[in-house]
Amino acid sequence: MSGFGFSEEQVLRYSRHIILPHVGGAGQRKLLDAKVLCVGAGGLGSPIAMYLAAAGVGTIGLLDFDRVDLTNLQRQLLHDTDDVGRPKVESGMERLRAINPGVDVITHDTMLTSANAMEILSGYDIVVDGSDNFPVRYLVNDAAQMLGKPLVYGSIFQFEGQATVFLPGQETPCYRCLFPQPPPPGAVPSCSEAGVFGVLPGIVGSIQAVEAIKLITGIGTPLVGRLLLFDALEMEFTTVKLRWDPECPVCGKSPTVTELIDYEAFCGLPPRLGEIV
Amino acid sequence: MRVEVELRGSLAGRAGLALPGGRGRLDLAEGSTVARLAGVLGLPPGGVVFVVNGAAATGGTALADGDRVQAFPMAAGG
Repeated sequence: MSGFGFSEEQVLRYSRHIILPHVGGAGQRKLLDAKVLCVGAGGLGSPIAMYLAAAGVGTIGLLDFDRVDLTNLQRQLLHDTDDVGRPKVESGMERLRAINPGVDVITHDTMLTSANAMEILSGYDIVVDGSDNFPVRYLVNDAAQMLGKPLVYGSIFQFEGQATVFLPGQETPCYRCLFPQPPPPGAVPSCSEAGVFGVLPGIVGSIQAVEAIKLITGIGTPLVGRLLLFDALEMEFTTVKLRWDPECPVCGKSPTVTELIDYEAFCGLPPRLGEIV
Repeated sequence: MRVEVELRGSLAGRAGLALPGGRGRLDLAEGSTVARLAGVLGLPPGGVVFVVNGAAATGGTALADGDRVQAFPMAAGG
């Protein structure tokens, strides 16, 4: 595999990808050179970050301000029982380094806000959203659109999950095209309020990891302009078309939102509500 | 006009007598929109992903006779 700059250890570690016709040495090189930010080191962030680390994504950013809670362990495989009380980015970093010491893990032990989002996201090629509340989801969408960063979206509720990919600058839909307005406060309960099936984020987060790796390597057809809906109880996957809104205030022809706003206020919530779990 | 409606997942039981079991056909006034259908079904104005004939729709999307409407709960959890 000379020419791609792999070490002997890398040739073995990534051999199952390297021999894949669609990935090959060139694809593996792209993975090693890629920088991906995982927003949230919880249910979705666990499989996302673990699979990206295993695949050899060279730089993985882990962003979460929360600490590991006993209630997280039913689904958040980044963290162990002994990690309860520790910052999630610390236990998450340890898990990723145990999976693959060759990956550079950058921790962001902070809440993503309008004040820091542009600076943090600008250091990465791709953003993967595993956050858990509407203000952060709109914030991540807007920042990714403004910076021209591909965004791999996933969300879960009880037994159901959703995933799609937003590609800025290509007249394809963004999160605001799908949800122009956030739901009224309280209309959509959180996982801590309504419960969540433990395996569900494993499936949806794995789908997000698939899409991130496809974007990096340029293989396959990305989940752009399509929303994948998963129902674990019925074991059904449904894909629906999404339309780009030319009037979208962020990605439309004449954007009216050109800098980050107060997303708690936009969602009708008091300041600083919500956390990534 | 008559539309075919299917409420998926946790929405299935939300419509009560308006749509027992969460699926069936509904008669609506001509010119009705997705938002009007949501009102008939007692669904919140936000918090639901509406899909009309396989494409995501917004509250202002106009409905036509024979349309197939699916509704999924909006999710933000992670």
